[in-house]
Amino acid sequence: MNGLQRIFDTARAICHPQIGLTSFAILLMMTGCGNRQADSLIELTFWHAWGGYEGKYLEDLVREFNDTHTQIRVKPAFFIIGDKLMAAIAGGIPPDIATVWDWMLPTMGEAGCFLPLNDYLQRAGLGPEDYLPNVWDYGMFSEKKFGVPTALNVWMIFYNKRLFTEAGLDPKSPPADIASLTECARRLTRRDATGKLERIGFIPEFQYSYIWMWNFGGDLYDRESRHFIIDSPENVQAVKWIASLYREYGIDNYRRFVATFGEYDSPNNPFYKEKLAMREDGQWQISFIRHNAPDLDYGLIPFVSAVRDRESQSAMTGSFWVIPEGCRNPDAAWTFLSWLIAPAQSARFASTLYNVPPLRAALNDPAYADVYRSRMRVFIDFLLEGRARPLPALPIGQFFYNEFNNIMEEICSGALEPEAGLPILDNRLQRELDRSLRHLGITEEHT
Amino acid sequence: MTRQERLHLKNGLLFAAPWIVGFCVFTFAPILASFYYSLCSYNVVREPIWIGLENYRTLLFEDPHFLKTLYNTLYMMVFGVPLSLALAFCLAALLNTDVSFLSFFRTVFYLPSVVPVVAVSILWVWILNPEYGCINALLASLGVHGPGWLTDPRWSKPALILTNLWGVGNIMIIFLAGLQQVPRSLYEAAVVDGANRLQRLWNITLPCVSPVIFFNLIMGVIASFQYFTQVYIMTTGISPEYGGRAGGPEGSTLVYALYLYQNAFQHFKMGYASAMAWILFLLSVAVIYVILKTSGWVHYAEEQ
Repeated sequence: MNGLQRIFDTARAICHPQIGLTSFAILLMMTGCGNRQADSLIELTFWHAWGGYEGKYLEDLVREFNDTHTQIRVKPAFFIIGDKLMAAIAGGIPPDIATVWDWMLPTMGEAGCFLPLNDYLQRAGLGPEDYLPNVWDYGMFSEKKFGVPTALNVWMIFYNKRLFTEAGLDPKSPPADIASLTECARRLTRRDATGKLERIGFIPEFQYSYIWMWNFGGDLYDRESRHFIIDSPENVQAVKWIASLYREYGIDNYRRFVATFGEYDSPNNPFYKEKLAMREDGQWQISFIRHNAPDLDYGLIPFVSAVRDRESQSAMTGSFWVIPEGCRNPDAAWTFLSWLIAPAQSARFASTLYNVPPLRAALNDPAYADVYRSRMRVFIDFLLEGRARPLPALPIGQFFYNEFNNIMEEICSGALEPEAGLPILDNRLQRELDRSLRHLGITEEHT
Repeated sequence: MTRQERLHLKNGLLFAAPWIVGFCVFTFAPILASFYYSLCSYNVVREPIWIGLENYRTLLFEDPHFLKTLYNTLYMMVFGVPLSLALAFCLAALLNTDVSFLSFFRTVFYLPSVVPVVAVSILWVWILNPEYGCINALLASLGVHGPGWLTDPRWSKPALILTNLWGVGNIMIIFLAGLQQVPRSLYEAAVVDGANRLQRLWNITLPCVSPVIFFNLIMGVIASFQYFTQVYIMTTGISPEYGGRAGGPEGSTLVYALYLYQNAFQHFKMGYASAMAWILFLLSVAVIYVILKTSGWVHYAEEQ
């Protein structure tokens, strides 16, 4: 009881006008001190998504910024892109700069998570012509720019030259049309005596099957009318071809085989282990292969067009830097961001990552020269020709991704036919988009 | 109420106040708020917009995944809960006998429950690997071609149930406590009457521990409605680079709580997710009500 009495006494003391007021005054003075300090130095938190040596390099860049800018101190922190950012924004204590995947940008942006950067970009004098083709509209659903691209990825087909020679194929002339790609895939595939897969010649991964839809002449979404056009005959053809490969391998066989694949960023990657003879992958593989499988002799196929006299197309993917809603110092955050995306910094960052810097000017920066001269050139030229493009920017990014994969998986496993599956997908996405636009209150402007 | 009683009540409330305040602020208020949000379009960042019953209507009549997630959840419940109860009971019964090294065995069987669920899940992804996993290696040595487990939509749910069975230690401990409460005199009387082991089990042990079974049944049913962590870890972690996604393959492990999570934190449809939570709540209430109404088989000591 004695101890309890003491607690009550303390409580009473805090409530006592004089003591209470004194402590309150002390508190005020303390916060006052804090404010004075903040006047001279603005602290910014920067959530980035690069670990390992890439993260270290980015943090070196940040240190350089801090050394050259006395008014602003940026504190970088690694985070895994996901729910955490949403929670921080909803809770009112967001980082000042954050990183998101491309498909999240319009979804979270239109939901009110990020500050539009249009005015900042305009004041910085940055416009569509400063960027590589297709990059300005990248991640933009309405006219608002909710982020700036960090560095770009481009997809191609990597093929193992040794396996080509072994199968009696000419590694110098890789497949240039769908029929020969299918034939190569067949000849490169190997099974053991029981029929179990030992090597797959080529299998389009269904989450990237939209690249093949483009190459068959189809598209996913019409930006003008805000309508999905996934159930077109071209797309049905593309998906039929993809599904035919899955069915040839057998979905059960394929899944068991995938379960034996080693970790992606390790010497056990199935492409290095010759479990996959050809594989769709991003340009960062050039650097990964150099680290993990330096002796691998590989070539690049810039996808294959199924339409006569039309160049093949590929996908552009990546991430964005954003200034979250609720950021206390957006001007300072932009000062940092605009420094980070400026050609000199962007070129250095992209060369470490083996990515492509989004600004044209950065390509010619001396810091990028070595990378530009390497095999990256194929990817960069591809981008410059405007043949790589991103998924449509949608306010239902994750929903699109989930449903697209659900239906593609059902088609590839044989549970659904392409003719039936694609209209279902189209319907679901359209219904969700319409609902989302209605709830966001952006339907009226455009209908 | 006397002065003394009033004082007791006041003090009692005072001592319970931290919990009462915490409960109201962090549990009860969010529950009420979630009901309001379930009638809104709400993405957590913007102000909720009132849309009446639209979320419920969409969920019940339009959502292509609603029935599937319900089926997956009920499957896990109908097969998973009785199996884990039976296994836990058998283990408890074995550990209630007079074998040597008893406390050692009790520790060993309880041990898996101490391991964090995320670690267990990742471990089981490997155990269940169709080519390299030890279960299929064991089956192969018996001449059986093991299934694809988590990679096969027909086997993914049984694989998850198998994983859950590994962690029955908690239920087992409660059963063990229940078994030790059974009066020895009853067994002695039964032996005198000439009852064999099976008869003793059926007529003495089971009725005596039936309240414990009942408790574990209810807890199991509630837990399987909320089943999330293992399936999230195990189905995301298989092969994300090759299309492995939470709830796969082919949505065969997309359980209700996982779909709710996707809507809330990936699609940013917190209002819709709130509606899902309320439907789940009503469903659990209905199932528990049915279990309570059919609990005639539970015997309490006072009634005997």
